[in-house]
Amino acid sequence: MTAVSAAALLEVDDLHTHFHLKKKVVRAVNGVSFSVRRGEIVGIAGESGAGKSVACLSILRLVPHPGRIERGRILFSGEDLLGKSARQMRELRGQMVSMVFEDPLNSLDPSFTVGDLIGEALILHKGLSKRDARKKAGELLRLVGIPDPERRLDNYAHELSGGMQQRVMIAIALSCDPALLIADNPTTALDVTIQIQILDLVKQLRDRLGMGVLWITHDLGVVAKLCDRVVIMYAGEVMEQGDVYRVLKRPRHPYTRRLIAALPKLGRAEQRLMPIEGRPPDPAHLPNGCPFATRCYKARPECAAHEVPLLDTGDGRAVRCLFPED
Amino acid sequence: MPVQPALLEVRNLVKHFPVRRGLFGRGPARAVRAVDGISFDIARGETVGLVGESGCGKTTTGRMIMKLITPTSGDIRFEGFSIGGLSFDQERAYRRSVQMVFQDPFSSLNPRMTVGSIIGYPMRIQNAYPGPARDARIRELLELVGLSRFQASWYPHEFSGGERQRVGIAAALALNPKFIFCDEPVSSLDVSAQAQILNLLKDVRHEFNLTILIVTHNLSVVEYLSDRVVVMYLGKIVEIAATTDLYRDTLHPYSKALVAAIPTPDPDVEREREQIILRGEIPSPLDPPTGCSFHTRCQSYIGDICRDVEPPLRQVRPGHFAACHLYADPATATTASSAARPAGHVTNLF
Repeated sequence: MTAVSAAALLEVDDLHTHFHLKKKVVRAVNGVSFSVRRGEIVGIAGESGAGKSVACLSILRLVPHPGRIERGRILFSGEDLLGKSARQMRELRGQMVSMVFEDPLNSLDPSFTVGDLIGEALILHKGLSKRDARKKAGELLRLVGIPDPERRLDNYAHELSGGMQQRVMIAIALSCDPALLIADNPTTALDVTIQIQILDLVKQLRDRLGMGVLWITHDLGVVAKLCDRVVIMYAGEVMEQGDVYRVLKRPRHPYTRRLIAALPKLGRAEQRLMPIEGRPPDPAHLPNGCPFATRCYKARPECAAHEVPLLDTGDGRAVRCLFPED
Repeated sequence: MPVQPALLEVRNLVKHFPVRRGLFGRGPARAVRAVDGISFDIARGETVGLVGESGCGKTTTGRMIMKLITPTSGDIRFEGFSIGGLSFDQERAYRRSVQMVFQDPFSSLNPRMTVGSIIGYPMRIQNAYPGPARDARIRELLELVGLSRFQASWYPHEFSGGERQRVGIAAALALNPKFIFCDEPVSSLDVSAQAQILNLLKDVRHEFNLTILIVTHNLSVVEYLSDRVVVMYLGKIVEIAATTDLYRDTLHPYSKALVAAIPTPDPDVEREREQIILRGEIPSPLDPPTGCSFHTRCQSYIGDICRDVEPPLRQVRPGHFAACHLYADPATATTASSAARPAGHVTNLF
């Protein structure tokens, strides 16, 4: 496992989350380890079905039925979250760790005004009066860059644009000064000029509030724009992790390399894209060895023989590959 | 860009969607100006990318070309004929010549039909490839898009997203169209499926000398596929350029912001390039700003002229058009109306 510094805000160690269906067990998260430090933005990247969202829902203990955390350790500020009672978790959520979801309109209750939605957590967790909660809600809307915040408090979610809704989601998430913000693909539904505003806002908020951020995305471009470190996931496992610049510039895992080669890049339109052939493995029938072996250009028989460990390569990076690139 | 006569000419195209205000239709009648007077050409064999953010009118434009909706005013000519006034037989021929690839391969394929019958459907409607020729054609198309001929009897749910999009492309190619309109063809696909579909579109385009209009918000996709790019903002064209010019020598401030906002996985590019973060949101097309519709968010605002006067689309360099007062110098600019191709002439509706 990777060495985790003492300053880690969140440490996920050997997490296994499985879904027990009638006839099969879907191993969505399969031995995932990573950490987030205070003031650090960590991206979790991978294609759909890689287990990114389930890993993050596991941190909050919000895995939907019939999913179950089978094994592992999740330490938040040194405390083991898997040993907490449901009540302790409820207090923690929203207060210490909060989450922003992909689809803002479906995550915001349509029958409450923006002011009520933001105020709810403040009244519940911080014990503010209704009046103080409303005042603080106005300040939060200003913080996330909503013009004319006092007037917006009385709006309902559907009256706001997508970018505004996502800002409201972030305002709710920030309302109790969380130490960790988890964001699940929050900008996929937004236009690019609005997306860049949100990414810029998150960076500014990180600088001002010093929180840790865990940002789930399938877009390596967003990772390059926003994150300090990146965790590349595939078939429920971490394939590679490390500093964003080094991972994207010199990927060591063949999967990371192929993922980047498959993306159209600005200014390189003449290069033919290199799709990854084949399909990811069925999460109900994962192979013994490396899950990428069947699609890998470097695969040898030993790759499929037994589990490949995530090896620390020294420069703050870890790679799960028997034959990594230099 | 090949110097060939235009296959498709769009002139002063306008689409306003009326909106009723208030309960029971009381209140003033207003209109969403989805497309507000645009003109451009697409040459035979050319791939043109139409880009812009949600609500800019790019999909509405494509749907008017497909005759799925009727323009409020303006003209669309295909091979010189206005598509508004076609006879029954001409219309049938037109619909055979233009085909569409849809955004979402999960909802655009009928789950109760086999992919063979989905691909055969356009042929059935148009009475093309009768008898055993049709099955042969279906098998040929499946192999052309990289699927197996034995998969004709499969149902859409048995395929992955990328494979379903291949089926959509096969159905679009079934009648040997001249023109294909691709509406966000890869935006619902994963990275590797996206790369496969982009490569496939590039290949079929060359193989059949297809003319393609691709509508997308993803500028990297456009750069990969297109010869020329048309940038739209709030129902108007703000820039038209050859693809390489648009990325190396962007003229319009909105296009600059759009190019700067594309996330790219190269950290060096990310560090070196200009950072432009636009203020504010996209204004409502119900009530677009006066003058230049981009002036409320523009990083290069030069004064009252931006607020008061709508800039015409001018040819700033050969083949490179922009609608911006920054390029109003008469010595360097000729208005597009006096220039020849590719934009034809410009609109001044109001």
